[in-house]
Amino acid sequence: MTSRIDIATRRSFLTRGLGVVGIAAGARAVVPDFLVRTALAGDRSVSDQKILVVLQLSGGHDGLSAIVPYGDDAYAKNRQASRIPESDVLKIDDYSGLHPNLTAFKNLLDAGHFAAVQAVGYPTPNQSHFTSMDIWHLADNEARSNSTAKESRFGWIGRYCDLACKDAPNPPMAISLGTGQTPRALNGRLSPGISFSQPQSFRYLGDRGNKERAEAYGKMHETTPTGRSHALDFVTRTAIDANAASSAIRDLAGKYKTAVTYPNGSLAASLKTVAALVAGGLSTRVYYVFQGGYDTHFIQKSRHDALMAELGASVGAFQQDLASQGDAPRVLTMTFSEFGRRVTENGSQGTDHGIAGPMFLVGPGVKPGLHGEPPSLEPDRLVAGRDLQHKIDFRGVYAAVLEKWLGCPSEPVLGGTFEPVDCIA
Amino acid sequence: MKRRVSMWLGIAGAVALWAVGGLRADEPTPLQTAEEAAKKAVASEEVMQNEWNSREMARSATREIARVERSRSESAVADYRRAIEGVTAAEAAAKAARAAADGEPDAAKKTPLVETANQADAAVAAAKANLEQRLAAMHAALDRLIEDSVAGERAANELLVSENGLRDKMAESRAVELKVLEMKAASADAASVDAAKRAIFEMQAVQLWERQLWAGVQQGTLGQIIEMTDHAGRIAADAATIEPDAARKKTLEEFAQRETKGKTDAEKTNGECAAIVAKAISEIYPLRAAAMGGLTPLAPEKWDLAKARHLLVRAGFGGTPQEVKNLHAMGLYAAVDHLVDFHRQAPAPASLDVIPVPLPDPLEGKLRNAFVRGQAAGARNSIDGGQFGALRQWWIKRMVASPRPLQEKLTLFWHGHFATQQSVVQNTYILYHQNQLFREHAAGNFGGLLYGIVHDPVMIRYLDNNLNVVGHPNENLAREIMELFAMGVDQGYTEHDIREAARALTGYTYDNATGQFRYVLKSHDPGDKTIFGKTGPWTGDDLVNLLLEQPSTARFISFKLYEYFVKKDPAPEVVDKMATVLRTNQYELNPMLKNLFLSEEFYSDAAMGTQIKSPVQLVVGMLRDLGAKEATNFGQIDGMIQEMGQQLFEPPDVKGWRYGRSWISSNRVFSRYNAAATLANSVPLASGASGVDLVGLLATEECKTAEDVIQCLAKVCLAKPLNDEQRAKLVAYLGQLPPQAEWAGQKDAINAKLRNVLVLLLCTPEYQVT
Repeated sequence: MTSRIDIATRRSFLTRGLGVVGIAAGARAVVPDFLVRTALAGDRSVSDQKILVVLQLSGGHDGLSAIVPYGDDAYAKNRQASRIPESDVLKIDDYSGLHPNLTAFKNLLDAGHFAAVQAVGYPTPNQSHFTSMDIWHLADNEARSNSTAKESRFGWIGRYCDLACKDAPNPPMAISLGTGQTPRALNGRLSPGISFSQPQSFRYLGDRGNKERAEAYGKMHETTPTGRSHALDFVTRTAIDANAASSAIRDLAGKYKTAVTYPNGSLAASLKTVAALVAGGLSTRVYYVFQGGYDTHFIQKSRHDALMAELGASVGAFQQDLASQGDAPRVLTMTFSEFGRRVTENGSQGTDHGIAGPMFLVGPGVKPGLHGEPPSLEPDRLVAGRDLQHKIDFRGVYAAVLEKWLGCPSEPVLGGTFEPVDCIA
Repeated sequence: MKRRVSMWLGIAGAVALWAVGGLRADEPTPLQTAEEAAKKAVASEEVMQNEWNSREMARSATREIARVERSRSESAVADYRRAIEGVTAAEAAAKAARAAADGEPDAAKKTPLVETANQADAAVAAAKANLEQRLAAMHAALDRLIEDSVAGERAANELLVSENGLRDKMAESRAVELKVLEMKAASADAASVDAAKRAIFEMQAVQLWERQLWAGVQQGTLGQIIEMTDHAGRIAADAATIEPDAARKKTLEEFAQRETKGKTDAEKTNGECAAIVAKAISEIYPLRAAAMGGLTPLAPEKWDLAKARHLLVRAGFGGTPQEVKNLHAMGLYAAVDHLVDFHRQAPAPASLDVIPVPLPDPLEGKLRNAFVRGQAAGARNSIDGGQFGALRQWWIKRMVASPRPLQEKLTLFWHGHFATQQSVVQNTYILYHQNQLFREHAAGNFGGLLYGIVHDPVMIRYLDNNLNVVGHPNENLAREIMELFAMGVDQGYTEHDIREAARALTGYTYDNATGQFRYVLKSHDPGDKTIFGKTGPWTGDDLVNLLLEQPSTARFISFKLYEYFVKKDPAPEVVDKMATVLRTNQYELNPMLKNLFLSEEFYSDAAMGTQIKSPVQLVVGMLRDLGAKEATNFGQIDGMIQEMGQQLFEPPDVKGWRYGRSWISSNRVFSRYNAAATLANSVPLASGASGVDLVGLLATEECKTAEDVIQCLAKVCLAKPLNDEQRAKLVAYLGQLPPQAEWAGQKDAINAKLRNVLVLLLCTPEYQVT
């Protein structure tokens, strides 16, 4: 808990430096780099707080092709084109095994650093990508209809950030990498979150190196006028965060050196930047990264194989890098997808939208192994005879991560009481 | 008049439902009595109308006669005046000749002079004789003029009386018809009470419409009276000045006075009619809005420059201060018509219509494919892919330069609504045709768009409907058409409806070689399907109709258009009103868009200046606001828009762009600031100049001080005024400028200075909203 207070203190220093103090001090409109570094990237001795990395698998991940129930005859019966032969499966027990391209996960499991929660979902499932994704982002079943899914509703990570540092406005407590768009999960009352696709282009160039113009730009950004709309207020808060974080992030990412070789691809690039920012001691608590392409309606197998290879290798390299920097013990990576896929294949050698799927947890902080029962493939235990029934509510996994990893009460974040799944050591 | 009659028939049809409870069957109900009265009133109207028509024809004849008479009189007066001048000249010549003859002492020389003088005297006599004739002719012409003018004016005045009578008669009929409608509204059941109230508003609008119509007809009649009296009066007054006979002179003067008074009276009545027309138009719009069940229009007197700018930005992309002034000068109603009835504007210049070439010959592909597997497909993709950038730039250029900005803004809306991605479809040619479909139906009929989209090769390919065949249904298109294109997520359909709709859509595919829609009968599932509780052998075309019947469809489209044009999260009752307009107009979008752009809602504080600009809006709006439509760097501009998170033809997924806050992230704040700064400083223009020309832009504004300059720039760029603190900072940064009159002489230096401060204005949170 001490680390949380530290963040708050440092963050309020930063905020005063940017906004209110800027006027009082008068002379310096633009926050000097050293101040940002002090505020964002304190020295390593105090940067011991736990960090969560959320990895979103977009499109609806086919869990049956990741944790393969090779021991179930119904698996082979339902899957022809996308079936993974028993001989290829990386066996965990005599029922389940990992996809052959997830060797990195198998090695992490053997080292006690990998866990999977099986058959995760939520009541009255929705099979729309967008609605289901909103439900996961907002951790709220009510996100489904147009009238209630208001854009100003806050995401579960945003609500966590609001709670964890309520004395300090505008903390970049959460950073999203890999797309310029901020996921809804990050949006909180105090901060809309930081997001950037590449650290080096994350800067203002309009001053063209002209000192006077740069100063005028700073002055224009130091005020918070009154009587503004919510939209303008949102833009202003985002701009304040961006201006404050820009140079610190570029410096940390630019000077980062690692001996680990990451694979190609945007997921690996994002994870490498996360490693750089973690190693640099940034006070950010949650990082958010993406891997897309899971909506495999059409010829699933070859595409899914490639996705598993990228996922395993990227996360494997990331863990290796964290370990070599000594940060592995304070970083936990959690994956999710908006839903799983249908048990039976469709007519196009693919699978349509399903319901339950697994979540992966990676890092020395996990309680290793498989959690929860594997989803049943028996026809009479499927939803509408087609889809995997969920057995664990995803908010139980969120609750475990919030309480046992981030050290934050889950009830105010999730808006309800959910029994934490026993997956954190 | 036809319109009213057909409406009457509609009402008559509905009357059959009227209940007669409590009264003896042979005794008419009060409603039946009222209806009978209304029928009689309408019939007698027609009699009066015939009478008016014959009067109108007679009036035309007398008007023509009077016109001929006036021109004859005018010539007669002129002839008489020339005859007077002839006499005067002849007398002067005779006098001179006689004097010359009398003064000549030499007898030999005198004789011819006397002869000349005698001839001159004869000429005087002839001129006097001519004068008599001309005077007689003038008297005759003027007598007829007076007679015919009086008759013509009498006819015109009788016509006016007849018009008044017919006007009052029609007003009376409308009142009777209104009474019928009011009686029906009072007894309507809950389900039809709204429709009954709307019929009343419609009738009131018809009432006003007819009143202003008659005022307009009278203006025509009065205009002719004015012309007649003015002309005849002037001729008579002119003739009086040369009339030798005192009695006739007096008659002419009196006639001229009478005509002047007639003209003055007619002008006064004409002014009253003009006021009736103007007032009725401002009242008809709210009534028509109410009749359609729509949103309440803004009071016309609240229309100001800020609202004109708001309209130009939202129903277009923006414009220079001069363009805003022009729109404001039209008045609210005409301004909305101007933007929404964009078919009346010239289309975008033909040079913008560069059609991407179709894919290479399919036979060539097949031949090559037989020898070098994969190469043909690769060649096709690379030719097609090479056009993709050009297609995006073509569209951005249209958005920047088109004289029909709303058409482009709606095309962009439909592209986001019926979202497809080039990265999936990989066929620029068919995407171009899809884009033209959206443009063609932009403010047309939503049913047409929905029909177009189930036949659209792009959508079919994007949502795998080419794989949707009998026996192997693929639900992708069926699901999204309900969830995203027509009804909205979870709005009145079930998973079962989706599965059945997928069956209806089987066999809807496209020909890869030609890029054309194909309906493949053997792939279509001909069996019965039950969709929304209705069973039949439905096809995809039937599905469109079934979707249009769903109330949630009109609501969902209204909801999405409201969010696009006004603000996020509309009140449900506002959406309901828009949906009612859409449904009462059979899904025609034009009346609904007009109702929206006229509405108080659209100009409310909650709407103005509160929308986060999309990347396209930011850049296209900036070029239009700052008068840089002639930009030439559309490749760079396209790149900037992409960097900000909006690649045309590449929305994030089938749900399209989310708009609003989704555009803003810390990264994209910088993308937006950086693009705005670059364009302001260095956008290359067709003229050869680079950077926006603020000296030119501000030439229409008065900028005496640095304070004025900042105020003007802020007005051009921002939806709401700068606060004092920000303004003071910008004024301080701008420093001293020479007087505006001297700017043209040192344009480059002044522009550089102004652009510095412009960039600071563009790179603010305030500039990101509009």
